[in-house]
Amino acid sequence: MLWVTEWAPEPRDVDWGNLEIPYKHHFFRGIVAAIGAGLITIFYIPLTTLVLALANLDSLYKFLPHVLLEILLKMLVS
Amino acid sequence: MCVCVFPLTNILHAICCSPGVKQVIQGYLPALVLAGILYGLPPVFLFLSKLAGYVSISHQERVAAGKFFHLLAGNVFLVGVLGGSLISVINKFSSEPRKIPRYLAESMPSKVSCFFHTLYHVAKWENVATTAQRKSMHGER
Repeated sequence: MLWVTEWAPEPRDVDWGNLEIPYKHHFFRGIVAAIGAGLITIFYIPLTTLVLALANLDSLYKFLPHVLLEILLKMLVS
Repeated sequence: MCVCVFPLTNILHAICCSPGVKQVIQGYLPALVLAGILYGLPPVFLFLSKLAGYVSISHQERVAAGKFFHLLAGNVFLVGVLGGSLISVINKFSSEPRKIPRYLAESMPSKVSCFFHTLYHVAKWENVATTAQRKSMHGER
């Protein structure tokens, strides 16, 4: 893969720092970036769940005391 | 049903019994907090796609926007749709398990449409400020 050509971007659109990166590294760098994005997405699932639980506070309120009582009962029995 | 076991239930009871507070908390607060949580993410994704070595800045921005879209679609939308309606349905799970799909179908549309309306209203307000900030975020171009 010595000679790989692409359409050149506009001069003011070029990120000159990234121009030095060899073509071989692009694949692995892409994988690293994708893994990072996936980790961020997974990391944000609990946060969004917490926030969206606020939206369902009414049903959560109906549901919560039962659960807490059950947990308490189990703790007392065992 | 007021069982005062934990302070959490007390707080929930106080919130749920006052109508005005409840509406604000259920309607506007989640969307606002969500917008605040997601506010810091685009620069992170921009940095990630800069790290990936795309040569042109517009390409970097496109890839970052794609990643952000995937986060929104997978995280916020799926969690919102499934989680929200599952919580509201979960009481009925034990009594009549065969009717789960029907309950899901009943509870999903109202929750989802209500929440996403507010979410996108709030997102629109926030969008104005974000768009105004974009230029300073990227520096002089």
